[in-house]
Amino acid sequence: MIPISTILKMRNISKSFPGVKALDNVSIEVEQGTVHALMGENGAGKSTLMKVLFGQYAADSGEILFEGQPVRFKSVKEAVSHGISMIYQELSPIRELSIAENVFVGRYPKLKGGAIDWRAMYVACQEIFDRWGLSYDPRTKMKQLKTADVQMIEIIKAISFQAKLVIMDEPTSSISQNEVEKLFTFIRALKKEAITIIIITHKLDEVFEISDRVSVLRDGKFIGTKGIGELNRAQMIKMMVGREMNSVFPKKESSYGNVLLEVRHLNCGPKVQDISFELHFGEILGFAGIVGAGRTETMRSIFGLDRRSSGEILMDGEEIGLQSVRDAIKHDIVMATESRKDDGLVLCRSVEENIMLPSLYRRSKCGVLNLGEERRIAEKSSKKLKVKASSLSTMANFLSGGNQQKLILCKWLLMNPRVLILDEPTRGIDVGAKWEIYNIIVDLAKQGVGVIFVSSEMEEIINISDRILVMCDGHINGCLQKGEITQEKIMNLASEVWS
Amino acid sequence: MKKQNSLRGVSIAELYSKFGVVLILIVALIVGAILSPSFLMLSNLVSVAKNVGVYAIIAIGMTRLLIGGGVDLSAGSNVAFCSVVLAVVYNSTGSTFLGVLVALVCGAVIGAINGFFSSYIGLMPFIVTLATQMTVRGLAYLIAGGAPIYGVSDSVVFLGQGNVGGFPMLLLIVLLCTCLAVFVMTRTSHGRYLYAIGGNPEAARASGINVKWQIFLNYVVMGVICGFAGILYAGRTNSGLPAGGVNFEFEAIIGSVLGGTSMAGGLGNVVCSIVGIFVVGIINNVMNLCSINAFWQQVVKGIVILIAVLLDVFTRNAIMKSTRKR
Repeated sequence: MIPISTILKMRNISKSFPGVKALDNVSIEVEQGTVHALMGENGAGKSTLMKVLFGQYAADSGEILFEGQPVRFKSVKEAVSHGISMIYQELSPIRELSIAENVFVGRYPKLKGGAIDWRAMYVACQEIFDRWGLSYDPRTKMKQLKTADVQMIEIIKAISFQAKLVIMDEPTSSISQNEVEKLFTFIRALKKEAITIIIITHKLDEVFEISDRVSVLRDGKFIGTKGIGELNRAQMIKMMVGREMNSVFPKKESSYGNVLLEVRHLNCGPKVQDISFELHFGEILGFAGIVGAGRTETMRSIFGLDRRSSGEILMDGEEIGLQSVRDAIKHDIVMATESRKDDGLVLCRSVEENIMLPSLYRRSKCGVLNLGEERRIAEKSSKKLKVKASSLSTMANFLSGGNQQKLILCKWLLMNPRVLILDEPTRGIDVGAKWEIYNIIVDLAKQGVGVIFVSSEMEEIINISDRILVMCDGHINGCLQKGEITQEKIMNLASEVWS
Repeated sequence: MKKQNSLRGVSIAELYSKFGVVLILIVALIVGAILSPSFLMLSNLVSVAKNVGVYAIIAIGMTRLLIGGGVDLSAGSNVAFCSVVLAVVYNSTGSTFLGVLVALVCGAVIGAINGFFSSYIGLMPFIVTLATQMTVRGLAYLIAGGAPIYGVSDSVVFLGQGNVGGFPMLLLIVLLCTCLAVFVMTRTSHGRYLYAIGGNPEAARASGINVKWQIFLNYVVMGVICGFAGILYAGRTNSGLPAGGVNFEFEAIIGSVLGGTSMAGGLGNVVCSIVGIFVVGIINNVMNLCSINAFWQQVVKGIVILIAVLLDVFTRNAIMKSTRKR
């Protein structure tokens, strides 16, 4: 029996960003040889805490004790050399190299004279696999492996660094049920060797299956650590959700008209599987689920950004054969994409150019623009949404996050959409801007626009939506009508594994 | 206080990216005037303008490509090829019109090949156009039989060498082409799309722009521009030169980048690129006037390129880094 001792102690950690207190006096203790689940909603501070541990952020205050010694890592590399490794959600193996090369990258065994001892490397790698009972061939190219296997290799790599503490960020978010079982078996084997695991996850079932202790963060505050035996599902959700719903949301009668848009048996890759739903005139239809449940992918395939493999999209009861974004726009379906930086705005161009971009083809005559009219339209629309910019020629880059978000809304509202898809429209913006965006959404719905509202923030999705569809693992897991919506129900549907 | 400073840094960078090259031009003029008394003479300035005329035409197309996130290294070969085609067709048919037409079509086809592979197949434009650079150069030699073909029609020669009321025709053409390009880049949807695609192709696609088609079109236009430059080049030399046009694409790129066009796409304008071309021309001219050794001239030019690229990176970073992280 290994004596239980505390391997990692983070004491009174605080970290502020301009305008946000990301971590507020968080203290957490992890015991050696246990699987410790770290839970919380999006933005609760889990990743910030881990970044502080790895030295990617400097904490404003607080101290970290690893194996009883105070540590302050300056880089990930330093943390790794002390025996702490992290398996990230987005893996980045060197795809063209073999498994063994990936495991030993940067520290290849050398022959005398400095040449790499390939034989020794493959032998050493095979030894590790044998020891852990894994059946990989060290010579397999990384690109031939599935995500789950790449993850295993990453863990192996961490262990080969003599890792004592392995942190896994959402390790099960993109792998199948069978693979999850395989991973968990491996985690249990690690536990037997006194290796400590911190697992960051949203999936409650998995927490109950694998972890020994659970710590919960909420809004940057430490809520508590409990043994898994002391908790049931409902109590855990309560810990995560906790807060009262006290913000003001614009009121809207929960009534809507006939069917406007109908999606039937939509398929597009592993994250969009047999999606069917209806959207009504004047309805705000919420799409809830954990990050990676396939909501963004679903919306992208409806909007024509990703080509769907099958499925029908009907508007006013007729199949409209959408193939491209331009097709969708022509049918008055528009989508404000999730990320301002990646596909929302052209940051190095002006406010005006960004606002006008999608509607240029409608307003230009044989491709020639009417600059005067354009300026008037852009001015009117940016005033309507209260975009704060010093002028219309200001580069979009200089606007704050909230104003950039409004800019995206501006450009799509100019198209007079009948279906407005909003993917996380309030992510990373402050309360005031959020409130203005809610108002715009509700106003549009009152005018009969069908709004699809994708959000990971419970509070807003519950208060804004007329109806909520909950997605999990690429499927729609359930539908909740206004009145019966509670956070607990959404959480349950969002974390239930599809069978 | 700190914030104000960083804001000031941004506005300087922004100003530079818009007008910095004008400042450089003025400095170059002053330095030239100091170093060589004959520099400011009208005849000298006109000869500078004539020397850079063909580069300027190519720079218009190159700027459009850089703005749209592309590049064309085959431009010089394309120019040589089209000049040869013009000479061959003219000498065998006697028709100027036919020669010009075939040269422009050939340019467009080469552009279309570049565009097809860069856009629809998704290969790196750098590599694609490097490949066409060699291929087209080879074809130019093959068609010409390895030697220059002398004699193009008088009207083509007039385009390259003639004067209209004492004003060089070539310069007039550059002026007209610049105006046309400015119009296209600022007042047509195609121009806007190119800026958007270069700035953020994903956002452009998500805004309903047919990104691949626009990029393809951009290369085709570049091909036509090279064909046109080839005609002017043939006019200037009164021949089709299979060995000509070497490094013209780099002259165009240096001018564009010096003019504040970003190699990373999305920023820049045609007028500044043309000014950049003139700056490079002036530097060459001044070095010639001061009879600086040709090898040293190359060294200086290399340094100019480095400075231009540094300025590009500096301005772009200064502008984009001010992104507020929230």
